[in-house]
Amino acid sequence: MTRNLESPSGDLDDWDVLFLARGDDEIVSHRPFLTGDVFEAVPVQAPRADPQSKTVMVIQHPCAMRPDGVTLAESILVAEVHRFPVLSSDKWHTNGKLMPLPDLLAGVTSNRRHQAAFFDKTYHVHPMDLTNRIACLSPRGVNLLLQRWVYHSSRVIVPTSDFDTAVSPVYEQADIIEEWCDVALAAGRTLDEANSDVHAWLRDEDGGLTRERALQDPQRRAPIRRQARVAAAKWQAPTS
Amino acid sequence: MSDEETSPAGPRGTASTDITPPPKLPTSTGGPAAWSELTERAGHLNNRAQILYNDTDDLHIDVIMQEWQSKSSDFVRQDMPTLLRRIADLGFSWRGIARLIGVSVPAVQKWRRGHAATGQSRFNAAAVLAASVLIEQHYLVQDVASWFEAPIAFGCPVTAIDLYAAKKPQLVFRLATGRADPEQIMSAFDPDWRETYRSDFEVFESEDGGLSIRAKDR
Amino acid sequence: MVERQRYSNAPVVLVAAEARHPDAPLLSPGEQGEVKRLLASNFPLPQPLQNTRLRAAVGAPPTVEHEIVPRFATRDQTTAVTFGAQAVSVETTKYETFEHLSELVRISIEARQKVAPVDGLMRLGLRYVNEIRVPDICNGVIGWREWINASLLGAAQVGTSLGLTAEQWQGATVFNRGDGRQVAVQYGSREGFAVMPGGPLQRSTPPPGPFFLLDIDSFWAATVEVPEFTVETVMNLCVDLHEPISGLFEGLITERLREEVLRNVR
Repeated sequence: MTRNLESPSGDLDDWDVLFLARGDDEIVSHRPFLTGDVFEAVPVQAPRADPQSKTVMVIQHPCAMRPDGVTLAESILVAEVHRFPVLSSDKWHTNGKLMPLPDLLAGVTSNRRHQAAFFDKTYHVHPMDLTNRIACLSPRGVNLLLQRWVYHSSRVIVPTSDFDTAVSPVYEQADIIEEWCDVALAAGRTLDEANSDVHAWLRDEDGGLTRERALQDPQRRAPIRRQARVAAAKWQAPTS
Repeated sequence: MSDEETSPAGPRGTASTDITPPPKLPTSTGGPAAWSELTERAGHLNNRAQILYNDTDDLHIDVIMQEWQSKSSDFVRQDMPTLLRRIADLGFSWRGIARLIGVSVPAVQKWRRGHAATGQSRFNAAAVLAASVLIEQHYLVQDVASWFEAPIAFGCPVTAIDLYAAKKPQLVFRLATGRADPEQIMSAFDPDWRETYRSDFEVFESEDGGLSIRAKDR
Repeated sequence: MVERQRYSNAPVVLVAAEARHPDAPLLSPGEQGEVKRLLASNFPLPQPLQNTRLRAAVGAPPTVEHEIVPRFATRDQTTAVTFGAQAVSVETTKYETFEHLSELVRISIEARQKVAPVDGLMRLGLRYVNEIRVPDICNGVIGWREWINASLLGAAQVGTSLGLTAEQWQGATVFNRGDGRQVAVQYGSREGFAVMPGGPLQRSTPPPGPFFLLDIDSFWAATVEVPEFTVETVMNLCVDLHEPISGLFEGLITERLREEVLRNVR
């Protein structure tokens, strides 16, 4: 079978599968930054050009975003996002220099709602400049992004299922951190305290492996989630 | 007369032994209707041919589907936050739960915060919980969330969550019996699965402890 | 004739075309091989059905009969043709168009007549089973009136005006088109499935919640004369039997169902 760049949902033009969250109503501000996140109004500067403010998407590999596993790198690789017409599912094997983002701007009714991230327009930005997140990709979206970015960079097509195996532990970790912070913030903790707690918990060893490493095994994830929910709940404020 | 013969389209109607007959309407207490039911039963035994299930697996799946229906109808009486909490307590991720119910993660988060859900969405959540509980109880699966997230066939990322999300719960229940051939389940899900998921690459743990991708040895 | 609509979220879960003939022996293994060869490009998967029949007669011990009925399916197991002792049936849970289905019927009848012809056409039926599922039924089962024609609600509406809540109902209407042709419409509020998912045909299976059944069976039965079992006869009749089905379906649903459910992918 000839291997091509994949479409989001086979023959269906189903774009919702690309996204975890879009717009203010859906974005969770304390979710860790991840590959595929889209930010508005980010100051960027191309070589020998004036600074500008652009909408960008993080295309840095998840493992490269945090050199120590916790703190964001000082320089994050992003790609410019701008308007692009919808690519139907049978055309996703084309246009390898970009990541289509149909229906990205879900609140917009005109064709401006359809955008794409362009791999030939990349910048390095400081994480402190990533302040206005407008979308997060789903695991499917992240895997497609990585497939296309790697193809653009090397002309090699790697199946998205391989990216999924490699990246899913990081995605799971982001989910656990988000959920822990949900509970901790509701109980009156600060975000810094919540993040510190959850990272310490993830770095604890359980059965010879840190929980963070254990997430690499799909069969360990459900037990770790249950444990995380119990551990996070201890921070809930007493009800009486 | 049997259900088959009362079909308004004549004996059996067109085709398909897979079409379930309408439920029997309750008869009145005593009186001619009750007598006619007795007569019907006697007549049914009298020179009637009855097709039984020869394939016990098919029968079993039909029984479990009916139990699933019944349990879902029970669970749907609970409110949405309770249903979601019970599913999460089994160890499912919120992404997994959203996928099983067939909605977005933000929709699930809204329901957790008390926003109203449609009747169908609540039923869908009840059905996920019911399926999980049935698999735990009938097939003695100890960690049902892990079971749902486990790859079905070696070298292929498809899981029971994928089967359920693709509206193939019958394959999920077949898999749960432990008697089904996983490769047959995969073929029922995607006849081309071997080619679809074939890869010239493999994932390995690199020296920094992270997962990386490399070409397979030929 | 009502213009045929195509919906991205159509409620049809099973379509069956069945051509019944006088009793004939089941295909022998050699004949099955020949039929398999003829149907290979459309139905490559042999999936024989095992039927067990229990016969009980007054005054005699019950007997058990086993039979293997030849059946061939598509690779995704959503469509199959069965060559029984009394009928050739084509069934699908992945209905595309009538033209596509009738082409499968044509090649199946051709194969039957080429390999082991049968003696006549006793009955031809075309059946569409719809499980209509909607986001919400408000106010109990009477809430179906938002989605389906009020004529299908039966006495439930009258009951509502008297403070009586209908829990379940079912109905059937049979239309006579003359010349042996009838259309039987069965309908009613149900739970679970009209077409059980555990069968040999794979079907898309939503959670087993409430749905409205609309089961339309358009059929012809031989009255005076039993015609020959030819491709031409079967195909002409198929087209005729199909003719009222769209109109009936469209007339029995509301615009709200079309807009919010049938035209909505999700």
